[in-house]
Amino acid sequence: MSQIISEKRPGQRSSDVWIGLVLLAVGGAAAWMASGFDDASRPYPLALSVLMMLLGAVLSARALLGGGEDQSFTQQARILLPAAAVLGFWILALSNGLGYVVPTFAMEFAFMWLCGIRGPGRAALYAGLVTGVSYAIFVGLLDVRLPASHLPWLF
Amino acid sequence: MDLILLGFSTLTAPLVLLTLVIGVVAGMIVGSIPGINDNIAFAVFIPFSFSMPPEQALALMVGVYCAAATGGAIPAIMIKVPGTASSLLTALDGNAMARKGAAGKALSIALTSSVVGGILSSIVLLLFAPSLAQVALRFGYVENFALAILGLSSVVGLLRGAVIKGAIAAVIGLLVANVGFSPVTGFPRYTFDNVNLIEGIPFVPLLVGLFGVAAMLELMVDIVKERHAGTKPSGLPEIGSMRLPGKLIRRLLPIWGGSAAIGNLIGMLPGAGMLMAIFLAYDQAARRFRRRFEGKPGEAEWGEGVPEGIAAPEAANNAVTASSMVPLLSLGIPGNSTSALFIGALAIHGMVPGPLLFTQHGHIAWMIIVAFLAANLIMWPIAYGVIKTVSQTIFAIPKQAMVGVIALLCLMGAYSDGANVFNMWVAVVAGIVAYSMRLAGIPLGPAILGLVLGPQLEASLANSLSISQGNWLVFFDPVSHPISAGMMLVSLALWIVPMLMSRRERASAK
Repeated sequence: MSQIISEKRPGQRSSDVWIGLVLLAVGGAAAWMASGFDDASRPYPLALSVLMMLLGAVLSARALLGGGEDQSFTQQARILLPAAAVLGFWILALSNGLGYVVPTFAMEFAFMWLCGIRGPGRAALYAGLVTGVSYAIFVGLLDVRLPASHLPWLF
Repeated sequence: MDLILLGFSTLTAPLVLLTLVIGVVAGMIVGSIPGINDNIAFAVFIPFSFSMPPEQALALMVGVYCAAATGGAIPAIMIKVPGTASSLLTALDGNAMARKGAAGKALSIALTSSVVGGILSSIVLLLFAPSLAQVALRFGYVENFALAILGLSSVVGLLRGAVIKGAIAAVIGLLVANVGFSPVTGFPRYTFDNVNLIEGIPFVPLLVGLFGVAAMLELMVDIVKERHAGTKPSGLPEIGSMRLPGKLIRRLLPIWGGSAAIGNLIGMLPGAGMLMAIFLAYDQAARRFRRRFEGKPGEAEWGEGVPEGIAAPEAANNAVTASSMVPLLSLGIPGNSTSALFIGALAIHGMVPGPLLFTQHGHIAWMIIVAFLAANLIMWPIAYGVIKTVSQTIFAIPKQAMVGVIALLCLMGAYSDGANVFNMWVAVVAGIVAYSMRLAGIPLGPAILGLVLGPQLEASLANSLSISQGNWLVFFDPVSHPISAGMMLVSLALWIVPMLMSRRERASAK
């Protein structure tokens, strides 16, 4: 659905080249780490790491020879990075004693804003509703033990 | 028969039956929310099952699984936005029929087709899973290794034209499954001295991330793109009468039978997925329509509101739901991505899918099978009620508000598995990796199979080589291990045939 396969511009390398190189690097790192395992635990992960390197090399080589796909990651990254940052800040706030309600409200508000719900009042209303209902479900109904909070009066 | 009665009596305990009904209602409602696919629906309900006894938890999951696939047809028909990927093709003829003023008829065809497909598929599950499990109980290390290879090959081989990327996905899954103690020696591997990784990457958060968080990111990207493109949703069609005339039912009977058969066959292939089933069924229905009805007075063009165009994909997608549980319950291999999440649901309650499930937790295994049949039987009236009441309200919820809700449900679900913040990071990273894989054209299915089958593959390989004194040909030995030899040959064919076919297609295109 969100796969955008752009037309290849002159001089542009297929994204498969880069994906292949990443796999080559990850496979190499995994193989290097596997070389430190004991004799009986080593062969299987080592074989898989080498296989990953080989497949990465094949993918890159095939793309360089004219096959492969071009995929624009930059457009998606511009949308995804803020989303990942919001999730990361929420987890950090939750695990560093800021409680559930304030970080969750902020996260929901941020997502409403990122997705285009304009008007702070409307976004705050939705965010407040989601935060309240989720607190009631997870803490009230399912008895989930939340991380310890430095602000217990704020839940 | 006694075993079916055992499953039936477990299911008919009032609270278990109630959770099944709740699961069907919830799955129908969640499935009918555009943007929430069956994987998300399933992933967000896993945390709700933590505090329940296993019978209730699994009845809830069966209800959600069956109903989410059906519920996806509602927005597909009403607003041409498939609620789940399985309703992708239903949106074409379904919405066209609705726009012609026959939304009720289109919904009724979709629901009846889903129920018929689901019931036929439940019967297949009832007949095949236990007998296959009996055979699987006789498997040794050699056969288990061959079975894992067959499972991986079936999904990689089915990705025509993308065999290398399929293989990459499988290797990624197998490599990630190495994290934690070695199943052979207990040596900690790829743990980075993190105690949370000693027993491997936590499975439930990993699955929640791979499906739920990735789908949330995809939904967000779609929303932002729609906003930039200035797309506005159109008004809802009137539902009207949902009665199906007898003549139409007779006309659709062969479509239901054929599509359910396709769905059942595809569903039983590990990793083949629901989409392949609906496309094949849709293609078969199109051929039949063109042969018999196209051009006749009063008949719409294909794709413009033809009943077969709704019936075929809906019967096929619900036929996949139960039949995809055949390899999962009998062999421990997930039939599709959503049924892979069932492994997590079973694992939470200390159960491992596979032949031993029938011996160690027989009442649960049989209850799951009977629950599939029951869920499909109660689906029609529940779906009717949901359409008449809740659906209209659901379409009023802005899609933009759903992104944060899905993120919260997924991450709290991941956290609830052991009340560990580390699980949330696992879900976020897994979601980003899964979305990046999708962008790169690397399919997720083989990676999931690699994750699930990895430990079994390594342990059975090591043990097989140990008992055969390092003889790699043991897996192809037709005398002492004929089942293994057969499975290895089928695996080879699954790799080679698609490559030859795509080479032939390329040659004929030139």
